[in-house]
Amino acid sequence: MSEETEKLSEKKEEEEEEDQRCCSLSKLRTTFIHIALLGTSAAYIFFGALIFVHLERPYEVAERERVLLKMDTLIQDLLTNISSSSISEEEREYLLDEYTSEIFDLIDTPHGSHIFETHFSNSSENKDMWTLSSAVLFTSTTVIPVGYGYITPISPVSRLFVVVYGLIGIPLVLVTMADAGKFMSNFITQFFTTLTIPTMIFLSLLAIYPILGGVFFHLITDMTLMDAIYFSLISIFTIGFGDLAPSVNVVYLVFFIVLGVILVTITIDFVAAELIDHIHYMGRHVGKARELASKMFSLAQSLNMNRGLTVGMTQLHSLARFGLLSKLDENALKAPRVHLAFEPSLDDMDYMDCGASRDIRASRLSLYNI
Amino acid sequence: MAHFHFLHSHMPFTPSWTEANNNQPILAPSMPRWKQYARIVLPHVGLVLLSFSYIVGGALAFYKLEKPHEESIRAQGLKDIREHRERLLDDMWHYLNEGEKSDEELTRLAEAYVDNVTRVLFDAFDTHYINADHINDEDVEGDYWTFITALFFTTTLLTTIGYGNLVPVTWQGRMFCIVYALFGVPLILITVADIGKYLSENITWLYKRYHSKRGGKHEPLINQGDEKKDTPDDKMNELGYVAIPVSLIVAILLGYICIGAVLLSSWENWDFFSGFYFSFITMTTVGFGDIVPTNKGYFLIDLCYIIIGLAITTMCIDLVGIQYIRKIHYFGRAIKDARFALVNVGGRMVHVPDLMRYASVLQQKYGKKHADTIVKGAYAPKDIARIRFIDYTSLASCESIATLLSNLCGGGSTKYQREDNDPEEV
Repeated sequence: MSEETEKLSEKKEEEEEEDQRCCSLSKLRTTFIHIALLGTSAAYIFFGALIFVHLERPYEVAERERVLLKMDTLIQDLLTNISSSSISEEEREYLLDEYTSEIFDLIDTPHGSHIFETHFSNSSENKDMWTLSSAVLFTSTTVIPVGYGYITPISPVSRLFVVVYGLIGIPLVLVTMADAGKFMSNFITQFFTTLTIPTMIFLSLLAIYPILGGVFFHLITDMTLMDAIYFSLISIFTIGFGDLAPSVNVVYLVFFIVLGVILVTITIDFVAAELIDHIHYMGRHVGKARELASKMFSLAQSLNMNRGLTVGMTQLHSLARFGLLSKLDENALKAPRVHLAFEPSLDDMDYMDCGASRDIRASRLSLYNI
Repeated sequence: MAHFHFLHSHMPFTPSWTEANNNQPILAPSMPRWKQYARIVLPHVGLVLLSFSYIVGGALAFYKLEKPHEESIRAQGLKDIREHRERLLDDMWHYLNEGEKSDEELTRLAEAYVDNVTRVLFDAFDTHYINADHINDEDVEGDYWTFITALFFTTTLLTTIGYGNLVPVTWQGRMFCIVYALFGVPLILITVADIGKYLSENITWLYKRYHSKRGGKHEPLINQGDEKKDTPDDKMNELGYVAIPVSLIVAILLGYICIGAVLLSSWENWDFFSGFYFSFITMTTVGFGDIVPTNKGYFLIDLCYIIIGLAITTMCIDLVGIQYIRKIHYFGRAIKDARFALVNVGGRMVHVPDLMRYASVLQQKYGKKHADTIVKGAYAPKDIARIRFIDYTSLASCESIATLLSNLCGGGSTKYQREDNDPEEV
């Protein structure tokens, strides 16, 4: 007996040591994978931006030259025609109409509108559409996926590349953000025993965040407060109309969006995931319990098909407990369950030892007797 | 519904087990079949109807809020254009007829006028409410905000696609947009996720049927795909969880996008690739808005395509993404996290890892170790391989449970140790 306990304690010590070693190792591993994930996402966005600039830049330059040339010829034509005294007023009107529709056609392309905008709104005439910062904004809003559409790829090659880029990047960033979100939610939830308070915290954070962002954008750009709040909300919900464009540093904007989207994801995870499950299983009165029961049942089946009724039933009971433990929490145990398909007797919920060892002993004794 | 059948079909031993368990029924008291189905279907139908009415109501509200503004903006813009045009024509006519100005001066003046006109044109374009048709023919029916486009707008708003080709610009419209999105986005998300979940269950079921048919396996496949998230332990995988391959998921997604590309390009005058690009940007809810459908007759079909596509995307994330998120999250710290998790059992706090260890011990002892033992005899039930012999293994189980429980209870509770070690003394 005493030897046994010694052995046991030795074993336990060994285990603990191993656990500690494992712990530090796994901690390293854990930290590494999270950092690697973040790094990969950041690098993905950055290099994606470089590639898009590389792909779109020549196209943009060519397009700008074409539009500017067209505009010049249009204006020159109109000028020469309109200031010549030899044409009638009707002809002049007709010319002006022609000019109007031509200009509209020109504006109606992304490059054209950009050129007109830079041409009229401010003096810096050759402002590029595809710079590194705008491309970073483009790639990050593609993978997040807000998709403002301030600038979009035009050439077929880069459009194809967007599809491939998104197909890989969107899941990658989704996973990264979910991972970061898990960290945040774990950080908050560790202080509380129930989920009600964290949910409230996240809901209020979600309510405050767009307002904070709105104030921020309002202060550092010339947006009105209402517009800035509207922009923040449209951004963090990943709607991204792109009708407003605050002229802030891309890094701040991306950071703001990422944080906001993570916040939204967590909140939805907290509130909606439960709700979805509820709705999904609503009406299937047994719902989760039935699944649980069937799972446990199959486990029991595969474990002990025919190992004597007593032991089998004990196993089944303990399995039921295990299933309940791993699946349900305190609240679920307390909650009244009317429609449960399988209801293990909870009144004698206990460690399986007291009951089990007695039963097992009995079965063993009976075995020996045989 | 598939889910429902699925559970039935894989519980072959239900009756005997039920009997053994004091006739406790595994199914809830039976009720009419239609009632059962109604109870299952009603919440979903209700949710879809609620979302639908929310979208339609929102569309009406946006239409009412934005339409007058659009009209006034357009009227103003067209008036500006017309005025500038008249002035240009009149003044040029005047100057030319008077003949007082020199050619140079004339050119300069004309340049200024043309520049002005171009700027006005651009400003008009910048409101997004005026296009070339409006200028050429003022009575043309080219409203941007119609009920159908408002419907398109609210759907793309709530699904967070946000093309941005049509946006509220009035103060009230934007305010309403904030409140509307705040409640509507989660609602539509839940609805779409609900549809997606239904789809994913069916896909899982179909795939399992296909899988078991091809593999010829008759193991009970009980675990649902989405159940796996509760068990980071990979050992549970062996219990019949069939992972749906990523390639299949990607193929479904791409196939749906291709179908959409073909359909859209047929009625939107796009080439196939533009349709593909549009579908992809939509399904991923990126929504640049550089290519948007314009054929208003097909808007409703477009909307259906988008909603179903989003459900499929959600399904894909449900089937694949969640797995990876959990995998990465639990990578290296499956135990560490669970170590601090306590569950309350009958008033006692129990560590989760201990339970997990218990499970793994059970599995090691009685798992599939002897699964390939074939017993020949006159009558061999097909599950014979699972049957254990009572002799040794049950004894081993006593020991293992004793060890486990003494580990579990630690040194603190000698009472259990004594009890647990009892079998050894027999």
